[in-house]
Amino acid sequence: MKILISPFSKKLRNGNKNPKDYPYWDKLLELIKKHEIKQIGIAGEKILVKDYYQDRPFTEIKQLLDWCDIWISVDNWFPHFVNNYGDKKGIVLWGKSDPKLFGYDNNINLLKGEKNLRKNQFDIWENEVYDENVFVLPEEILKYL
Amino acid sequence: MKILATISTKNRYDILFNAIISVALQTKRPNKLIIFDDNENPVDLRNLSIYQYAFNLLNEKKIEWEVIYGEKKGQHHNHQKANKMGYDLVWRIDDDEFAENNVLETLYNLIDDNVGAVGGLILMPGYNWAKTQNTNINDIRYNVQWHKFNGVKEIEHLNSSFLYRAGIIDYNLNLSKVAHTEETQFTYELFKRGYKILATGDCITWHFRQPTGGIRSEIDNNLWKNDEDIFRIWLNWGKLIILDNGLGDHFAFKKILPEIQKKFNKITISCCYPEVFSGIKGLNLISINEAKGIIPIENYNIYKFMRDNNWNKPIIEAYKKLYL
Repeated sequence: MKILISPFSKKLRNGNKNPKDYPYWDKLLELIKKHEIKQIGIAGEKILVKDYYQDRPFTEIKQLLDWCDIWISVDNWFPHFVNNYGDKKGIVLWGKSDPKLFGYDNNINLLKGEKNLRKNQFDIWENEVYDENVFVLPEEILKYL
Repeated sequence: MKILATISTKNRYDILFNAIISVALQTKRPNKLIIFDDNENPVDLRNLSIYQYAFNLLNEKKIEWEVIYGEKKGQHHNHQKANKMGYDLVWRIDDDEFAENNVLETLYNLIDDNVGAVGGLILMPGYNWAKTQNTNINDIRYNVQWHKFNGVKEIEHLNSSFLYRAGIIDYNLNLSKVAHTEETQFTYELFKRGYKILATGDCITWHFRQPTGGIRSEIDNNLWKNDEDIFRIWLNWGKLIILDNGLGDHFAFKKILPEIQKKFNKITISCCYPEVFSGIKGLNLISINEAKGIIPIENYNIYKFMRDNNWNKPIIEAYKKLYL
């Protein structure tokens, strides 16, 4: 299976780790290493796989989207980008933000629990504390691949 | 609903008394009257006997009152403070006006969930001008409120004195001290937000137009020109979209752009990531700073909109509600 990953959210202005970033990428990638995986991202982000595409124009990102069988992303810009180009299904890893507000029904929205959602969904992320416990474990993601 | 009445005054102690009395004598009483005093040399009005009577009358009518010394930056700054004081409705009346005693009651009775602002007639005794009545934003010279009519009209903007839903739209603080067109822009933004703007001919606020004081204290024509330029640029933008947010928010918005293009001929997008819209014809793309220099962009903040409306649906639906 061809998998495109968009693993990180934008860096916060206060330098803190973005609470939307999934903490278990290394473990997940180990579990799905038999698949062909490509990563997209921007300069400064951690490179997780050999096929890494940095700061690419949207036209090229669209080609990568067309290439993949499924994509996996945190709650960042990418699911919104995909939603503009049809309905290719992806897996979105949610933590404290609410997929009912910021997600799309056609995706596999993995939310560990509504109890983890932050109270003010519309506040800036700099005001939020990072908590790795709000995300599903990698084994849960495997069920959908 | 809690109602705040406000008067912004400058160099008109000789006539301000009338406006205060007219507030005191309303059949529908506001909860509070705040007078923003922008006088160059403000005095404690409580030391002037005529004003002692006025404040005592407010006390008798159980209308709380307060005088706040303004920052002398123009009445729009004072209106913005009133706008954010937590009242449901704000009734603004100019310092050279006198509202007949049924004005607030008449305006209040027209407020419902869909109404953003409502104003009555603003007439100068002895004058009956503005034979042409415009309800449209593109020609504000002949406001519908300046000419007698009966009943209620749905319009696009209001002038001078009106009752409005507070805390939704910000006043344009980019305007100069004279704040030319401040109320036009404010009420038209409420209109664009989807609220009805109403004018009623069933109540009269008399305007004792003064040659001096108020905004006519300023003699620098450049101030008016500056404000007129801002107004014209703002109008010329057509349908204005502000995306002072993240890349994903731009793409979420982009999904509804075709619907917006069907509805509006002229579209200006002020954004952080113009490349999201590259190749799309018919868009005027400007920077966030360019928009900031003309209007209060917070009025277009999608996150503020969702927060203020306790939003619980997808963000795309919020964009539709804000812009369509």
